[in-house]
Amino acid sequence: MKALGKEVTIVMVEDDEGHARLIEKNIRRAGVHNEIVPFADGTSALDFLLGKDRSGEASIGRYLLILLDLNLPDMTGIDILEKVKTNPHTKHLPVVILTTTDDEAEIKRCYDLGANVYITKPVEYESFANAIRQLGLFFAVLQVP
Amino acid sequence: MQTVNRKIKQTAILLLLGATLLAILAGSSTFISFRSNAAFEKTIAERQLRRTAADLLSALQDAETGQRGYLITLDPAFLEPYQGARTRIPELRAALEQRLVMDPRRGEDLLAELDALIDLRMGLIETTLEAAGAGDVPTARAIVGQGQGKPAMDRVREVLGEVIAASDIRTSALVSVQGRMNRWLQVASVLGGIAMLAVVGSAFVLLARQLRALRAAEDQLRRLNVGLEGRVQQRTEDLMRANQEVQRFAYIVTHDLRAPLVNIMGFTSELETALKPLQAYVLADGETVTEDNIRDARLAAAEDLPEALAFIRSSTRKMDGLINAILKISRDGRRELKPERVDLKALAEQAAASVAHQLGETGGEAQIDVKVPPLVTDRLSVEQALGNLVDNAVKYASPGRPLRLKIRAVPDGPRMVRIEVEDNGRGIADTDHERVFELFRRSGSQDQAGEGIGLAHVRTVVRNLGGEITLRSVHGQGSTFTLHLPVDLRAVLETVRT
Repeated sequence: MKALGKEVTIVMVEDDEGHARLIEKNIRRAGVHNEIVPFADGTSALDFLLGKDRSGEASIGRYLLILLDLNLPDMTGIDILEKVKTNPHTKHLPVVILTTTDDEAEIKRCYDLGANVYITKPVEYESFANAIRQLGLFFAVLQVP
Repeated sequence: MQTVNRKIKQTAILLLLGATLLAILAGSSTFISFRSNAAFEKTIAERQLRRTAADLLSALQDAETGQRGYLITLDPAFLEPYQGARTRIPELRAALEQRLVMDPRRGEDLLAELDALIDLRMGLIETTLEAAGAGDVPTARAIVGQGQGKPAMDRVREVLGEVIAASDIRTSALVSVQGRMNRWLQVASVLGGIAMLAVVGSAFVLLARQLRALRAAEDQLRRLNVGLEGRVQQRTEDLMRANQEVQRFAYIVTHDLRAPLVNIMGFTSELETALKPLQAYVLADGETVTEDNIRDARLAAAEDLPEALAFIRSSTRKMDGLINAILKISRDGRRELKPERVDLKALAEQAAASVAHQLGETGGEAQIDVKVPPLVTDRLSVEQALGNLVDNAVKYASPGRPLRLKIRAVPDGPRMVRIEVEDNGRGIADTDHERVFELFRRSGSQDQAGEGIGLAHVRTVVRNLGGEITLRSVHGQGSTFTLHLPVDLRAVLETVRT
């Protein structure tokens, strides 16, 4: 997965270690071998994405794809989505919501805020793996700027 | 309401009394006027008796005058008064007899004497007139000269005078009776007027009081109605809030339980996947085992299997933890509250003492300022709430500065107190002010151990006491948690029961 000839880095914001591991395993099985930078909470993820000063300048020139869980211990994924999509330096970054939450209002809210894809983590593992594999296909056609 | 009823009763009794008095007065007035009427009628009868007596005397004198004139002149014109008197005398005598019933003293005797005298006198007159008519004037004059007529006539005058005098005495007595009756009647009218005024007045007062009572009752009803609507509104809001909380709670619980479940299912499948290369190697049974087979089997045995097992175990433990936390919150909600006198100052000092060691290590300090009398509340609940808040203050102190912990308690209206726990710790971002009270949710960087249960627990406990917890905080500067608690828990439990 490349953008303008550069390798895209996958930023995974996921507090559950098990989920993070399963997502990683399935992404790799789908044949995606990009670097994955994991974050277990919202604060450290924002530190990385927008910088400690939250200006977003830290992401200038980066090619990132964000995998975002909504249920984080210190803030909601929606807070992160909102901050990323309103910052001029990060709003173009594709964001994939990957979460256990299947609330209709929440899904709509995420799309309204500019989420690119919303995937519900199914308890059934076959579907889970399938969803991640489809995500791999999505990555393959995705034009990351 | 009681006094109004009593007043109405009093007025009604007054009204009844007035009406009774009025009836008595009306009765006596009627009686008096009957009496007065009777006296008046008697007076008229006495007048008639008097006139009849006088007329009788005058008729006799007329007869005498006629006799004398005729005897002197022999002019028959003088016989006219005699003739008129002769016809009038029996009529008048009959009338006198009839009217003499008024005179209780004299009746038969008087009439008999009077009859005799009249007969005698009239007989004498007749005899003389007959004699004169026959031309024998000297005989007639001789009879007159005998002087029999005069004493009879004098006696008649005497008798009739007595009748008149007696009638006059009775008349004056009747007049005085009538005067008395008139005065009584006047008194009765005045009293009647007063009684009437009293009755009308008390009826008016009664009506006014009843109207006032009615209006007061109406006002009270309206107020009660408004109060009732307000209470229904309040209860509905409470119920809606509770319902939303239950939904939010159920949402959080199901989603938080689902997360470890995803892990368990996922790593069970990973376990299966890892089992395949292992089986291919271990259960080869004579088939050729390739280098790849061996490498995959070793990888599965060394990494995939232990990793999957570790995640399954940790996820199971996490689920157990979640379930226990839910049970704890649920138990707190069901615990029987024991209202007792609780000295907040002692409780605050105890909470501060429990963290004194940590405070001492970092050069921090605690200030306690309790300005409320002891509450009546559940000791354990307040102890847990305060303890949790103080623990949090220590746990989330800002690393750069010593902790300044302040516990204040001030009255908040007559029925509530405010207990504030203020720190100068790392603070909570605006977006998380509501979220920190939710189950399993935490704010800020996750550099401290914890499950996100403490504040959810405090909120449950405080709401059980009929109170509320609020938060003021500036990120990076500090937080102030405020417990709003009722002064008397018994009153709260009372309203909940009713």
